[in-house]
Amino acid sequence: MQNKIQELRKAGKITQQELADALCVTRQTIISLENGKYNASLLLAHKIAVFFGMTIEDIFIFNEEDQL
Amino acid sequence: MNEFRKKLERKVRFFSCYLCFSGMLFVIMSRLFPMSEGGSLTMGFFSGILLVMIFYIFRINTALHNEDKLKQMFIEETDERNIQLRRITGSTAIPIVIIGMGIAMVVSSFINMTVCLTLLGASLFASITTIITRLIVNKTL
Repeated sequence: MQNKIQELRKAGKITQQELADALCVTRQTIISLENGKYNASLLLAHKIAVFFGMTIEDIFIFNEEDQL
Repeated sequence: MNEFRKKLERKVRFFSCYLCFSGMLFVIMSRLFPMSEGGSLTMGFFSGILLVMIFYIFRINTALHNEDKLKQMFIEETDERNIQLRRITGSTAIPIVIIGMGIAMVVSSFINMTVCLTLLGASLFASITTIITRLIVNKTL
């Protein structure tokens, strides 16, 4: 699943550590999310959406073909 | 965070009790039975485990008295990626360990029957523990 976390984070001039602290996760989780190596849980996706003031669908791009 | 603090306090109590109990057991056993061949190796291994526990008690106690470190520890412990990593490595490692012990059991049966039976016991214990844990977790989820 692709996401716009890195794009939004850079636009907001937020460091990975700041975002990690705000979401109560490790910096490594943010790195993995940005690289698309890890898919966030619904809870974390919701926290991210609230943090950026957007909806989950705006941040995470769900590609059905990836799941097949 | 309060729940986490209580969990850490429980951990410290458990480790401390384990340290006291194992220390007492070691003193009693060393008085009752003379140290067998290879006893120093066992004692070294056991001392290593105790040192690791002392290190953990020290680490947890430091975190309990420092809010920043406590928060950092809380994040490391509750981070969902870390939890998933632990789950995956645990579920992958256990079958490998059991298979490895099975191979070692077959090899050791040609050399020493005591070692073979010990490995059989350990494999059975690991398998039964895994099955029981899975059944319990299956009911809770």
